Amino acid sequence: MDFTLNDDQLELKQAAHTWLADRFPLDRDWEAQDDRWGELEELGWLEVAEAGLGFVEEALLLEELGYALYPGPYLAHVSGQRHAHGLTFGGDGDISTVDPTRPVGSVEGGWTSYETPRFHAACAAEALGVAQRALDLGVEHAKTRTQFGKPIGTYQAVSHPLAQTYTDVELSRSLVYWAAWCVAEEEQAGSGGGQTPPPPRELPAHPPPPPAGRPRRLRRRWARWTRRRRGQGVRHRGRRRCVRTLDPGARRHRLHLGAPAAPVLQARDLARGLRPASRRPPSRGRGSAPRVGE
Amino acid sequence: VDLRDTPEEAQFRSELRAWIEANLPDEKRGGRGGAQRFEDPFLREWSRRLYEAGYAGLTWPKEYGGTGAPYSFQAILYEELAAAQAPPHVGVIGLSMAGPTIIAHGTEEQKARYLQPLLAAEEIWCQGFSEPDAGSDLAAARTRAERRGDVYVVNGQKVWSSFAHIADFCILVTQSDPDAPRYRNLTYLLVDMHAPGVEVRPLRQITGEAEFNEIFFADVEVPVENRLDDEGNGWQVAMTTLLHERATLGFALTATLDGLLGRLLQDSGSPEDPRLREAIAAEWIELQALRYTSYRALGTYERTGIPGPEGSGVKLRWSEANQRLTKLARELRGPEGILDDGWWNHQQLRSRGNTIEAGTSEVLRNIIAERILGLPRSR
Repeated sequence: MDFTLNDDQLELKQAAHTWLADRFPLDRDWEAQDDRWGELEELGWLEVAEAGLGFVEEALLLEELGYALYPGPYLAHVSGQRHAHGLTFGGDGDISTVDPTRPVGSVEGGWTSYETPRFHAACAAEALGVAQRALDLGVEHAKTRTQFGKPIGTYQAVSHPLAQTYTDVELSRSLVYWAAWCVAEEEQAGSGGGQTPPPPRELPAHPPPPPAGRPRRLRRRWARWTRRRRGQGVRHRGRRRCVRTLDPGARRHRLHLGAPAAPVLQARDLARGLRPASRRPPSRGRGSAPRVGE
Repeated sequence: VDLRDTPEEAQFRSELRAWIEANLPDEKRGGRGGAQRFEDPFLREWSRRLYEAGYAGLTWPKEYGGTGAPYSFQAILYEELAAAQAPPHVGVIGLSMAGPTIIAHGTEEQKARYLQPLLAAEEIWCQGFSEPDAGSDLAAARTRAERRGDVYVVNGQKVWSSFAHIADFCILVTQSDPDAPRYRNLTYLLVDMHAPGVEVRPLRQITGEAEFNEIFFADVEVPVENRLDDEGNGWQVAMTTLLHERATLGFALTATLDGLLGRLLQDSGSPEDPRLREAIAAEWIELQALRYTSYRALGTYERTGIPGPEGSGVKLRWSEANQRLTKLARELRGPEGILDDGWWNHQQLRSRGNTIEAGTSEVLRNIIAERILGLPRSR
């Protein structure tokens, strides 16, 4: 058991970090929308499998892309890639572009990989990078902005929320790497095929182009978009459990990985020996599922 | 990243499972913890068995009675013990705090004298750090140790000392030089709890039990050879203790939480309410996050041998998770939650102290802010 990144992975992450920091600084021209797709291709990021790398490495790239607030469709690319375990774009496989600056689009016919652990893990990896960037910027601000003659980070009213956020980010990082490893294992094993694919569905759109020079607002939009994309809490928590079942150390149940919410809830129950809930669909929207115990 | 057991780990795990099956009677599983567990003589017997099988001090050097196993084995041990709902080794403070500190700072004589009886549960340790006016601010400790010839004469009071009522020795932080600058004024002593002048008074807790205590020292003579490291170096030694407390704690805590969640699912009667189901799923996810964060910290620990400050984050989030989980369990049980045998009642009441003991949540946030995020000191 070794839950640390190996030297190659660390090097990849660092190289990606440096490259992205150079190409996508915060003071960039936010209107320009140059996603440097060609350069990504040259770097080999679009076909990591050809370099003998797997989803863990892709997740690391996604994390760094999120950190750089990268404007291109890499997430959609990673989520939609063909894979040995049967995740393909059916039909003609075209992805039509809905926005020339953010070509994510929808799939014409066939099915998408939207409902897969790969997609959710990829979203989470990207969101992790965004969260880390937000934390870093917050910490930087707390160190440099002064009030009453001191940096505001001196005050616990500022430093404690940042510390709590740090634990959020670190705990998320653990879940992301774990999920990434599970997906990579599954794909390497080449299993998971033969599942009933989900119905055709539009791929979620990337967030709209950010307003010029407003990284803070951009991050907020990003967060909102990620929340929407993930769907409501109950559904998402069910998904994570799907990923969990790929963990060879855990109690294993074969699940309908691609299926929508109701079977996911049942799967969650199976995994922990609960009786399935009544077939009431999970309620949606803000405030409809308050946390118990708060 | 590879979460599979290596062949060595897999073998260790299966041997351990078989050993637990053979050595832990069913009726001794699933105890509720707290002070009550020390009333059962089986606990010492169980601790001795753990030692004889090499599971106590698993990662300690062989020359001090340990097994010299890698840290990942320790994680497996915690996981398997929790899965079997096994009681802990009786020497909790000794194993996680006193022992590692003595290994790091002790003389050969001290290591030879204290480590083996600690592992074998022949001698129990307690911790004398907090004082009525110096808890989180340890450098302000006022328990005085005055050098007189070959002894230190100790006077003062310690508080919130778990297991002091059954302890044979105490790791004691004392003020040895009131004129020395802060952090250079402390001396770390190993004190015989049976020495004349030591008095232990139990503190009744919300659970109704007295798991921790006040300790009073009145002209207690401590031989100079019981000093750990140099005079005035007590702060550094104490920091070693606290780092180890939090580092090795992570897996134990996560394993305990895993056990609690398992029991909650067993007891919950399959709630239909989506809010409750979501709350259970949320706690399960938090548990996995804590678990894998501990695994990541383990990697650092294995490389450097020194636990990183990441342990502070795990302790912080665990204490909050444990409080939520025990509260949720009570809610799931409805009125029965209060009227049943008191198992969950005890767990919930006991969990209230989690955000205070072993570093309050506020102190842990300070540590994260200053040592990890690099923010300026608040004091």
